[in-house]
Amino acid sequence: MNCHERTATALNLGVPDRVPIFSCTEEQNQIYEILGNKDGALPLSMIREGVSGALFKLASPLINRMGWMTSETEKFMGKKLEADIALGYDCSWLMYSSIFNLRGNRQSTDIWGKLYDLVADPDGNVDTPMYRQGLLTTPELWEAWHHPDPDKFYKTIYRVFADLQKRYGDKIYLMGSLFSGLWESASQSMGLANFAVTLRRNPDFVRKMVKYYEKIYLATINATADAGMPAFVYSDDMGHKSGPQMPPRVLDEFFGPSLRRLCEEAHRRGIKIIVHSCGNVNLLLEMFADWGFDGVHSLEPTAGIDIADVKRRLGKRMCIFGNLDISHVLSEGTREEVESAVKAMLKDVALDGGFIMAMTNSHNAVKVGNTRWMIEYTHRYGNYPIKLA
Amino acid sequence: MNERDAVKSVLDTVVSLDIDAVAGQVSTALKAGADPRVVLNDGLSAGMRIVGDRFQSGEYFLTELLLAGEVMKAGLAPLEPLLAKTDVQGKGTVVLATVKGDIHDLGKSLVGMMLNASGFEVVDLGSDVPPQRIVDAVRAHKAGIVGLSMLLTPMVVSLRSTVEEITRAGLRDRVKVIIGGACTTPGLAKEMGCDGHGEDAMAAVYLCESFI
Repeated sequence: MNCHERTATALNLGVPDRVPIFSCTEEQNQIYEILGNKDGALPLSMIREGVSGALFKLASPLINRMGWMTSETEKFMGKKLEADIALGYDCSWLMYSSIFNLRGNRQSTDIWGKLYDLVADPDGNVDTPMYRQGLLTTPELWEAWHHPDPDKFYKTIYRVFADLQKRYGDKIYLMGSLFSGLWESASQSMGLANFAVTLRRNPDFVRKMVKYYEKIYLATINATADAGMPAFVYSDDMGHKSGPQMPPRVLDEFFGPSLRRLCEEAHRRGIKIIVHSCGNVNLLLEMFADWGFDGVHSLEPTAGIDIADVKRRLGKRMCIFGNLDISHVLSEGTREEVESAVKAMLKDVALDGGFIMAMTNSHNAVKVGNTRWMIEYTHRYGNYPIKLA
Repeated sequence: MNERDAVKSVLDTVVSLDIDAVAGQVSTALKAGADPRVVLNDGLSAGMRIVGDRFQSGEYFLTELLLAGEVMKAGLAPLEPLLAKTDVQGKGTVVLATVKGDIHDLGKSLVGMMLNASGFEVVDLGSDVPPQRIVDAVRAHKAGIVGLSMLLTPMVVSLRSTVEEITRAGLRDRVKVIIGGACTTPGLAKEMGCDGHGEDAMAAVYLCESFI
């Protein structure tokens, strides 16, 4: 099987020739190390310090208008795929992340109205911006924000995805995606506490917000399908360390109908749709399947998710992606620890197919060497029929 | 309505997360003759603890805990001018920080909110905090407890250096150090020479209260 057949078989809950391996890596330090060009990464000091830092501080609105952030992130998406292919991944989560604008030289905003701190990875390069707070703290501020037009958004995403699919789509199974799902966009653009108050006081406004984000996502899913990509990753962190961020019944009431429509649209267009959520989503997993998702990723072990239990509960309904630990095994673990974790995962979850090997998340502390071991041992032990004592 | 029932109504309003009714209930309790400290402790704070316990048991969720924090704020508005004139004895001061190199804030902020509601004075230093700033804050605020938050294992280095800095400053026998966050465990707390680990916001409150 090639990477497309292998991944598609697993997503259809079948047994491929080998367990496919999924990349969720988004980190500059790792991607440029894999490509053998550490100098290719964008250092944060360029934005923050010296003459260039002063320029960014003074002229960030102009720099934004010139599309500098957009071109940098689009270039990076291609580099990410080159790195994924070089490492031997079968499939890749391709997040459309050209949604940030600089705000001076220390912060950025996104198109949804969220404020972030610019942060550095361990090598001093620009890392994924870290969410700080929502800017649209009231319905009035949300209404006044310049939200992207879904039709224009479709065209932007399509242009980028079609180009990447053309350049890399035959070498790796691409899963399009968009930064920040319906829940994250609605709750984080207001700030979680303000969102909680608004949900209580003005539920119709929350429905209106969700409906808008649904339109954006429908446009993105269609752009993904039109670009020729076979799958879409719906990324929305609905959990925190000990449980869902909001009551599951409320999530289902306010977000469920839209998420069902997203899944229906993906299926109507003939593409698979996978949900990614960080945190403890144990109470949401059946709902994910009910809404229509074909696969589920993250399943964070540090948030108390037992992937073997997830496989038992949902293995007949969704493809399970996961969930190698990044807090230790892939960031600090020895070769033996990685081997042991891969073998345990294969034994617990992969035996009857419907499984895709993945790290639980992207993080700058993950080591490229450990990632290579994850792939090496999945190649060694993940061939069907899997024979592990 | 008598004074006792009125205070109980304040508590019920917090537990039912009724943000628009709480200020009115507080005013009613005060008009019924309730002492502002009783309204705070037996009404607002007691209600907040019930919400915290329900969050810990999985009955309430994060948005409900945060909404309760907003209900508490709304209820405090009519109380604060009166409380300023009274001698409120707190449970002590806790310095909170996310360790150097980590800017995750939410979990620590929830701990701060629940500690506040439970009668502690909270000095929240924010995230990505260097060890020396924590030491300075302990000295400046005469804190008895330091709460350190972190998300991932690589931040253990920062945790270790923070504990070492507190020890070097000669403060270790005066302050209890507790930890919390995604990658923290009771085992890690022991390994780092800390005094305890809080699995969630309410566990952190109970831990701090155990030190009093």
